[in-house]
Order: sequence, then structure tokens, then C-alpha cells
Amino acid sequence: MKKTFRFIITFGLISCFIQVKSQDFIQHAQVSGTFQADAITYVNDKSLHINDSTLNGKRLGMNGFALIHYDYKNFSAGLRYEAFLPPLLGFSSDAEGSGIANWFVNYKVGDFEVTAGNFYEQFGSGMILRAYEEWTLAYDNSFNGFRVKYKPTAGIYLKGLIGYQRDYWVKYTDGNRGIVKGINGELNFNELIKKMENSPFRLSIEGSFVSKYEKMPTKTIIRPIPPEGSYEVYQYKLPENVGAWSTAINIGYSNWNLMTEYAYKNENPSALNNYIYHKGQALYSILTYSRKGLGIELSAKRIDNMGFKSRMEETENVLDINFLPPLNPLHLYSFATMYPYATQPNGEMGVHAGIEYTFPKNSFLGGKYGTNFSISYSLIKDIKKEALSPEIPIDSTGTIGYSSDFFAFGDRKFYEDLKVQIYKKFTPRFNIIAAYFNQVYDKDVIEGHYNEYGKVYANIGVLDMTYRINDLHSIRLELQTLFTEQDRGNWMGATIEYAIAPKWFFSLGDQYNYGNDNVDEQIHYYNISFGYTHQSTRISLSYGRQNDGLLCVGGICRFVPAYTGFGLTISSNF
Amino acid sequence: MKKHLITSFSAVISASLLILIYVGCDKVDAPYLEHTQTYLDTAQTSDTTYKKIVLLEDFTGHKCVNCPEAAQLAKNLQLAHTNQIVLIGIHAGFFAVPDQSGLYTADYRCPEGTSLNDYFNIMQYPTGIVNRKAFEGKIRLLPTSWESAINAELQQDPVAFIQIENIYNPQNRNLQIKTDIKILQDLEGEYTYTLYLIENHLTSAQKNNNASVGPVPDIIDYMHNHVLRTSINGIWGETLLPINGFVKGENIQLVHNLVVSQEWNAAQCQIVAFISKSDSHEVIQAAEKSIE
Repeated sequence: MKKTFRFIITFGLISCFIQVKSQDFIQHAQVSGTFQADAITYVNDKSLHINDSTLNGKRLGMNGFALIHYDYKNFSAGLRYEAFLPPLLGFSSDAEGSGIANWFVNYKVGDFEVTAGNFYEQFGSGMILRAYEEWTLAYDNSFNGFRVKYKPTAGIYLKGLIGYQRDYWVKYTDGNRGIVKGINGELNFNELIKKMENSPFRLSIEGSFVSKYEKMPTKTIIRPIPPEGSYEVYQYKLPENVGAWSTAINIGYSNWNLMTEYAYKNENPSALNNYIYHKGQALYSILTYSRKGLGIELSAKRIDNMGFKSRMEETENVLDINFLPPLNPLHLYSFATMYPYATQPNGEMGVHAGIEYTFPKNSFLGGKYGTNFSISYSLIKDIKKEALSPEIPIDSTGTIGYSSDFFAFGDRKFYEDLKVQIYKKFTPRFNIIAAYFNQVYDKDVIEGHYNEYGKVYANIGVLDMTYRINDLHSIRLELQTLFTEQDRGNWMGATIEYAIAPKWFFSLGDQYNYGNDNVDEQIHYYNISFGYTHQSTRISLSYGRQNDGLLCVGGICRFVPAYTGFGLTISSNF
Repeated sequence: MKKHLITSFSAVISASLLILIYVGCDKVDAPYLEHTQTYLDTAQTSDTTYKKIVLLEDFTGHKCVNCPEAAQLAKNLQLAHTNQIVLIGIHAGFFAVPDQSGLYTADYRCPEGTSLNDYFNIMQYPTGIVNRKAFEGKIRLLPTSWESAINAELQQDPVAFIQIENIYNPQNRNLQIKTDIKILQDLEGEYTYTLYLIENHLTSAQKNNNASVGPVPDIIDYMHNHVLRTSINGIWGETLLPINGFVKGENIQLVHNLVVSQEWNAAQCQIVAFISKSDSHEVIQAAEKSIE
């Protein structure tokens, strides 16, 4: 198959070279590329219980990719080669292998655009369709098929697509995943109506419809009946075509903007929702205000049974047709990400508020250089679920599952996050970031346990100081502490970095779990690293211990196991 | 002209949308479960003559919180496909490691189980392997995919049939296993025959996170079934002769002997047998029989 593909691509490109002005195709084309390889050599570590047996011979892991992009006038093409030989610890063993993961060709004729091959796409905020790639998670749910875009006139944008999604290296065959079709239209009134072109009032609306076709296997359930040892076998009625639609409105006036999207999904019994027939609904709304020195964001979200995958039986982080946008902001400091939130597609309801303000220079709080202050708060709870009848428990398989009041919060708090941060420049060479985080983390819900751990209440403090010795040399000291009476107890951490711009950096850090109830688990997670940058190529080397935990990006998480080892990262682009 | 263009495209888009909506949603009406079969007194249903029998190997561990739910699912699948699924519980990997003290001191691991775990590169638990064959491109299956893989296998006609007769002497614990293999279709290539011993009703603690299966987080008196204890003729079995294939109607008789370990309760032990392709290890037929 790969040989056939290479032949087609080679033949196609050769034909193009011959038929189109071949010189032009080379001389006036733009070719760009990106390469990255992350490799780790794992070593035995008694403290982390890592030995020959747990490593199972896989002492070296490597994740890498190379991306080549070709542009010539209205034509573009590209391919992405990936290699996981074998995957780094914490990545799915299904990723193991190498080859051309993605390829595409694209051309534009006037307002018409066609893409064939693999492509990424998003309708609205993604609640019924979003394909994207996230390297740190080895996540890629790209479509393989066709996409067309058309702009019949200014302000009207139409998109249609059909394809199946990537599932690591598994070849598409009939029945091993669904085929997704989608259509999306957007009306931008400021572009469509001449009078509104320069108006401070902005308005656009968007509508989408997505359908998945999947060949359904037989699925049965056993129900015991008297006498003992007897039972009945039932078969699920499974829909082969599942549809979802969404509509969004975007209203803006001056510095204000309000985006609201509502999504609806038909009956979609799946392994994710325990095969219930509840219709899915989602509402996401975000209000923002922005001017120099001030930013405000208020958002709210309700998700009810909106997991949507192109394989009914799938529960892993693959084949997601949609994306449920997270409310809580992404944190940068490691202790603040120790308890990250993973979106709960079966039901969650939350609010978020954030404000960022810069006190002007020479004001009382701004001082000589100004002071940046930000505060944000997120609360995410369960949705209210009521049993359909006293005899049928909530979420019973083969039923509607539950009824739910659209505007009612459930009792269970999944996650709460308060962040207060101040950035203060004291001299032209010295600045400090001080941050405080207060988090409530429902470990059972977020990590998929059943009333085993309860909630984790964490208080985190960060002090991040940077001193620029001169224009080239700088030193940064980061101090962190985490206090909690639950889970693994208290932590403290420190990192010191020395950078010689623009080529070198050196870093030494340690995270110490001094509050662990188990004395044997009071471990130092030390790390030493340095990096060198030459033009657009960067090489970094590290050695140390990695703490285990969840790594989440956009509400999608993967578990990173603890390990000790040497790390090498090379990245380059042209 | 422009207005005409917009109108035309609006009509095309509207029509496309309507078609997509029409064909893109299946209406499903309650009740969502369709009654298909009733089994009364399951002990009486033992007819296995010339049926396809599928092997499900469940990689598990007593500290794996999701494993009891998977074991329950496997049991239900066995009930739904009476006498057509043979289960082996392979305790291996991190979750199967016993503690020095406390609830989880039982050690159900065996060298064969660990070798299989390493060979199939099992890294998460529970993972199932159905007939040691890839389904939809994957050999390691999460429990959510077990049923469709089993159904796909059961749709195929049996190509061979295995009949086991166990002769056990409780005094000296000698077990003689007599096998009669009947070839039901012409078979090309090399095949192997493998015999494992499994044990049921082993009671010890099991971690659990599903309250509908049992107490959470520990089921103190969990009953571990189908636990792989040993292989009788090697982890990958023995080559069936002749090595160039078999003709429909052929019969093959084999005899194996084993002294059943004192550590195992013979009354709860079963022999699992299966024929597989020598090169790919794909299982074409399985069988099981109690020792006593």
C-alpha cells in the first residue's frame, strides 16, 4: 500500500513537473519542513520500582516526526512521517511503528478549494466536529477523505467533508471505524452587508451538521431470570447512522464579544456512555472584553452525553469526532498541573471567570514599570441526573439512562481552580512572578476510579524570579510548593536556569515529595538539562526522574508513568 | 448575476443538508433491547458438536481495578454463547505482583503467563486477545471490543473439532489427557496443538472500581476463575503432524500425561486445548474439559 502510494505521489509530481511549467514549479515554489525527535534511555531505579522486568527490554523509546510542506501558487501538498520506535513510556503501544502518517494535496480555484488526503478541520468550537493533532499526547484524529470549501460571495463560507479518521497505524477496513460526513456554513454579516463593513457591531452565525456511519456489530446483554442459573439474552438496537448538529452565534460590539454555541446529538449508545440512548446536548458560551491593559473573560458550559467517536466500542483517546472545549485555563507551572482536569463527556457543567489588568506605570500599584495582575476562577460540577424510575438506576445500559434538568448543577464537584498571579518588574533587569493556586480535584471522577480516593484539596504557591545579568546572560529561579493532606501529600520544588542568549541554556531542578505518608515514597525527582540552539535547530539533553501523573492538553489527558533516564530532543525546521 | 449565484448555491446547500440529515440519522425507538434467547437451567446445555469454539485470553491482575468488570463481561459472553467460548485468565504484569503482606499476597502468576504477556506486549489491563488474532487491525483488545471480535469468529464455520477425555487418578494425582481431533475442512500449512491447565474458584482479594460487580475498592473474597496455572506441552504447544496440512475427515489422536501439583485443587482444574497456526499463532479451534 505504501509502495503504491509512493508511486502515485511520485508519478503525480513528475506529471505535474512535465505538464505544468516545470521550471516555475520548482523555482517559484516554497518548501518548508519541521523535524522533531524525542528519545529517552530508561535506567533501573529502585526508588521508582523500575527494573529490567518492568522495562521489558525497552530501554530506549523514541517519538519522532518530519513534516514537509510544498506551496506553489494555489497548489499545496505535504506529508508527515512519524516514527515511534518504540513509543516513549506512557504512550499507547498501538503507536509503535513508522511510516507516512498523513499526506494531502490541496488546490484553490477562485473561491473554491479542494483538499484530498488527510486534513484537520473544526466546525464552530468543535463540539460536533474537530480534527487536530497534539504531539505531546501523540493524538491525531485527522480525517482521510475529501474536503471542499466554497465562498459564493463575501461573508458566506461553506464547507463539506467526508472521510474516516486516523487510528494510529490501523488500516481502514469496512467496519473497523465509521465514515464521517459533515457540512458547515457561516454567515458573516459585516462582510455580507456593505453598511456593516466598518460597524463596531459585529455579527456572524454558523450552522453545522455531522453524521457518522458505522457498520454495527451484534451486541448482547445477559439478564438472569428464575430459576437460578437461567437467563435471557437481549440484543441492543444500535443505530448505524448517528447525526449531530450545532448552531452558533457570534456578536461583538467594540471591545466586547459574545459567542454562544448549542449542539445536539441523536441517540448514540456506545462504550463511553454505557450504551444508553440519551440524546446528547451541549451549550458553550463565552463573553470577552479586551482593551489595552485589561482583559475579561466569562464563560459557561454544559455537556450532557456528548462523547462522539467514530467507533462505538472505543474508549481510548482516539477516533474522537468532536472536541469539548475546556473551561479551565492551561497552567504552566508543574505543581499547578499536577492535578489537571480532564473533560467529562458524559456530563459536566461549569463556569469560568478571568480578569487580567495591568496597573499603569507610575501609578500607586503600578510603580515605575507597571504591574500585571490576573485572577481566574473555574468551577466544574456534575449535571443533575434523575433516575427514570425507582427500579431503573441512573445510566442503566439499554435505556434512556436518566432525565436531566438543563439548567441544574449536579451535587458532585468535579474540579475547582482559583489562580491569582502578579507580574512585577522591579528594575529593567529583575522581575518576579508570584502566583497562588487553590484547587479541588475529584480524583475518582477525573482518573476513572470508583469512590476510591475522594477529593484532593491543594494549595500551590509559586515564586518565579528572573535576573538579566546583561543582554546575553540571564538567570531564573523558580520556587514552588504544594500543600495537600490527600493523595501523595506535600511537595516542594526548585529550578534554576541559566541562559546565554540565543544559543545556550542550563537547568537544574528538583521536586521533593516530602509529605508522602509512605516514607519510601518520599522521593526526590531531580533533573538536570542543557540545550543548544543553532539557527533553527535545537538540541537538548537531560537526565533525571520524571514524576508520574496525568498530562492534559485541552481536556484530553494521557498518563505519564514515573521513570528515570537520559533524554534527548532534537528539533529543526527550514 | 451575483444574487442569482448566491440563490443557486443556497438551494444546492439546502438540498445537500436535507439529504445529509435524512440519511445521516437513524431513528431508534424504545424498547432499545430486543429479546433474542432464553436459557433455562444452563447446566443442561452442553451440545458442542462441531461448533466453532473461540479462545479468549484475559490479561488481568488482582490489583487491576477494572478487571472484575471485564471478567464479568467475559462470563456473560460465555453465557450468551453457550459452550462456544473458552476463557483463560492470565495474571501477569504490574497489577498481578503480590504484596509482602496485606490483602494482596496471592500470586497467580506463572512463567507461561508472563511469557505470553511479554510476547503480546500487554501494557494495560484488562486486555483481551481473541483467538490470538487481530481484529480491525488490533490484536490487543479492550473489553469493549471483545464481543464483536468473538462474534466475528463465531460467524465462521469450524475447521476442526477437539474432543478431550481426562482420566485422573486422585491417589497419585496422575492425569492422562486423551485428545481426538477431527479435521472438518481441508487445511494447508503447519499447525500446533497446545494444552494448558487452568484453575477455578480461587478465593482472594481483588481490587474493583465498579459497584455493580462487587464491593469497592476491594472485593475481599473475590473468586478468581480460569486462572492459567501451567502449559502441558509447552507455551506454544507441539507441531501437529503431518506438517503440510490435513485432509477433511482426518482424525488425530494424542495422549499427554501430567502430575497435577499438590498446590492446585484438581476438582477445580480444567484442561484447555487449542489448535493454532504455527507461524501466526492464530487459534482455529479451542476446547475445555474438567479434570474430574
